[in-house]
Amino acid sequence: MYRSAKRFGLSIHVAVIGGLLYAFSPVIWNSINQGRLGTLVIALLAPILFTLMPRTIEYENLSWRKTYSLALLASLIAAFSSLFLAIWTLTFIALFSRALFNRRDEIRSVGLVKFLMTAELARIRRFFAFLLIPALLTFPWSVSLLSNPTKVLLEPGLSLSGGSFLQVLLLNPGGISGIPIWIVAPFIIFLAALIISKRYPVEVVATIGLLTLAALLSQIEITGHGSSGSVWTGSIIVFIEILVLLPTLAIASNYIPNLKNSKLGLSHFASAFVVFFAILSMLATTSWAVSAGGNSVVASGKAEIVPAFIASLSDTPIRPKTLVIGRTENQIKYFITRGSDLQIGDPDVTDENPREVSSAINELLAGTGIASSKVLGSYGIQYLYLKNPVDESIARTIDGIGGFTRSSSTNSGIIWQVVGSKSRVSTTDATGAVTGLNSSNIGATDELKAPGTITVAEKFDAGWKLIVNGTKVELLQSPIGLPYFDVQEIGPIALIHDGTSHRALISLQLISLLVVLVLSLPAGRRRRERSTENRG
Amino acid sequence: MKTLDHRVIAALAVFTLTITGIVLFNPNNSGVSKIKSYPATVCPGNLSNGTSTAVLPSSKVLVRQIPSAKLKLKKAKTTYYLTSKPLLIDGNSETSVNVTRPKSNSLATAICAINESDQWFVGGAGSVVSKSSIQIVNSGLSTSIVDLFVYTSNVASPVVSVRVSKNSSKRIYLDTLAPGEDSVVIHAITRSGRVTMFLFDQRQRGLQSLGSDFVSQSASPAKRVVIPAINNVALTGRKTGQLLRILAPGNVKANVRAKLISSDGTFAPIELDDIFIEGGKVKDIKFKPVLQSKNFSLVLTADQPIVAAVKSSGTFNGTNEFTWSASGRTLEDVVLHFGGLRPKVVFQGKNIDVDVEWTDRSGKVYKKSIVGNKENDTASWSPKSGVVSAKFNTKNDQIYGGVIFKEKQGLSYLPLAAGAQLESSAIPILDARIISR
Repeated sequence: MYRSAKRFGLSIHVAVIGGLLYAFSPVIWNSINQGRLGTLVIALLAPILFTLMPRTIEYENLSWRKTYSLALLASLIAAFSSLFLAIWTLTFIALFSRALFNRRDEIRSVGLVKFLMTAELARIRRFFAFLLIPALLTFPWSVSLLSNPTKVLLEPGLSLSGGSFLQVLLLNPGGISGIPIWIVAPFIIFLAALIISKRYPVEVVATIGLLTLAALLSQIEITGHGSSGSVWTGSIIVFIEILVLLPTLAIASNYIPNLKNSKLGLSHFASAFVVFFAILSMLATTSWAVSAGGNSVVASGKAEIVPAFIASLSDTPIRPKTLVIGRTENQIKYFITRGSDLQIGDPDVTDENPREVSSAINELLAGTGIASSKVLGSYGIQYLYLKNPVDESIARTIDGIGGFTRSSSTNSGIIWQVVGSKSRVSTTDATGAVTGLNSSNIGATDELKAPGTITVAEKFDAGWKLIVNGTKVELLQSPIGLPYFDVQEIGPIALIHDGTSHRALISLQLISLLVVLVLSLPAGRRRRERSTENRG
Repeated sequence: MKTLDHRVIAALAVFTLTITGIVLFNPNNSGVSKIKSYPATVCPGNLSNGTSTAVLPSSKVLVRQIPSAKLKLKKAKTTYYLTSKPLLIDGNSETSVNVTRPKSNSLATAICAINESDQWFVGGAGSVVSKSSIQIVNSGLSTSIVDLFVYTSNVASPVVSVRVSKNSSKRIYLDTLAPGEDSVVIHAITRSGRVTMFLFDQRQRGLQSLGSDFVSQSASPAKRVVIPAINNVALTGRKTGQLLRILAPGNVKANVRAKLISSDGTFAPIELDDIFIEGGKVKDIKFKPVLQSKNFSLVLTADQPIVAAVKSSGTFNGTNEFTWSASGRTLEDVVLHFGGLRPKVVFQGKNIDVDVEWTDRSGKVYKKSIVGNKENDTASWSPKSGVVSAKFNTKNDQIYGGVIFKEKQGLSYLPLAAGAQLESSAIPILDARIISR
């Protein structure tokens, strides 16, 4: 923020104050406290983008090198915020369309192809580059946003709920273990000052627009990344702060010296109030950070959730899964783990459970699912772990329903073994005998000793491929949604998950990244490498 | 003076409209869907040499005997279900009652319930005249384990772990748990399984029956214990006696004060004026209150948590009979099916105001409001004829209630409590935070 403020034309002293105000803002501290990596990356990069972007709308004067550099920076930010990617892309689609619309007569007269080949398109080409590059560089993830548009509202990591409506209006995104509502950031006062000053109307309009968007989004419950919660508006608030802070500092640096020469009046008291409020807010944030702020959701040293003996089983060839059930406040929650506690990045690749598994869990906890253990076991769930504090009625229900054998009951919780659970990859021969096959994290290779059915205890997906003796076997779907293969011969088998389109999109992403990197780097030869006659 | 930019005015207008809309419509973000249901309850099997009847709310209610070959519940087809085996009753809002009638003409009643994992039974004996037994019913489909901690007048016995197979029951005689002990208190902790327990106290000297009754589950140890309904057996029987059994489960000695509350007034019986008990040892104290009221309550206050119950015994029309009045929990709305028995309900507490709606044997419905006497904190309800079912509603907390069945020969006590509470649980949701440290 300091460097951006200096680029904005502010003095070093004012830039330092700007940096301090930005660094002590609730959105930054809440993001640190709650492990919001996406917002933190945006908080680091957004001021740079903001100061590098052309302030006027004369995009045609932007050099191509700068265009690609800015697009690269926007891509980096977009990689951490799908909402930013969506807003950015939509904005440039609008600018691109408007530019084409303004020249509709020209297109009509010469035709679209000739227009594209011969017309002066510096502005339109730059808009096109800005709208395309961030989407290209975030393949294949950006493509998945088209099929699941609600994912735009998800931040990286778990969907932890943000703060209340009032907190968002006060530019404090709140959230679990976040800065309390009574520590009000000075930015909302800065916005009021900007409106009253009647200067920087573009920034004011953009700020009010973003604040409206943040207020609206904060009321939406979103499910994804393995959890659900109200939309986190921290990333929007970061942009609001940047939009408000730099113009406010610019006005203050011009206005405050003039106060010396004017009579004591409302302006002096208003300025003193704003300064006092800003200092008080920074002090309160600091006090919170060194006291209650330490009690954060990402504090280290917390006890392991999944019992050690279950975690150790995750490395064995049968790859068992564990259904973890717990209660927080008034809600029963569950998750299927492959052995370990949640690691960084895990929520982002969490997929929805198969419908059959969700139904089996619902029926199990309602006490009506007599076949729950069979379905869960078929999906490779070997253990059921009820976390402390144990809900006695749930324990009683599981004990009563059958198909689950209690393994242990400790201070951490109760563990049941699912009767007849299958390994991740198993084969059923003609006699009905089930044998587990060795599997790794990704696929499985083993020797098939008898013909039969090979079942994969995973969600059905057309990407599952089985090769027996070098021949591909047809993939089938069981009535409970499991992928399986009818194999008529014996010999070495290889089970893989083949994501061809995924790989293609990643290749496209890497090629695009290389191209954009090259185009954004300095292209000319060094002065000493040029011939003497070419030196200017 | 420079005016506001029209774009800023438009933005402010949109902002104001949006905020107003959000505030007015106040979207509900809770997103929690709940399921409310009553768990299935269990009635005891026949623990006497006579008959055992489960009084059901309806002939359409689904039931299953334990054990049974088929796990599917079937319609009962009767409201008086005669069975020798324990009976699993599908969850419903109304509470069934088991009525056991041994051949000796005595009476024993029990609430058909789904028990908590931690239960206290104050009553029974392991002496030579005792045929008391505890029935552990595992209505679940997994093996259950129950730990029994037996307290006596001497020392606490080592824990007895009982394993009960799925869909079955086990009967354990108290003379095997506490051989030769007259004073027994059992603390049962369910370690695993859907288990319901019943303690049936039956005494017999040679061929002569000394009476029988179920020992209802007592309230958990507390410094204030209320036994809401005790029959004043001295008015109707011969060789009568009242015996207070009391235990401070911890290791610390306890000082206990008793207050007898009846329509005659409130006083401390001389035998119960100042009780001193050793920690972890059961103490039996006989007392003989001189009262004209038919039933009374006992309130015990102690400096340590205690559990207590009162055994009222006597000979009624030539038949020996007794009942155990257990300490109760505060009254909540409940519907009980008495199966035509004539209850005498005693309430104890401040500002008693209970609405009772009952159906008699002829199917006629009656309503009555029971309001307490402000001077002695007690009230009672005694219908003139047998009652099929009764509904009790109160808005006041801190009211306790107990039911006495006094027949010509039989005598029994039933706590005024529902067999199962409405369980509310949210529909489970997938949430990775459950495995996040």
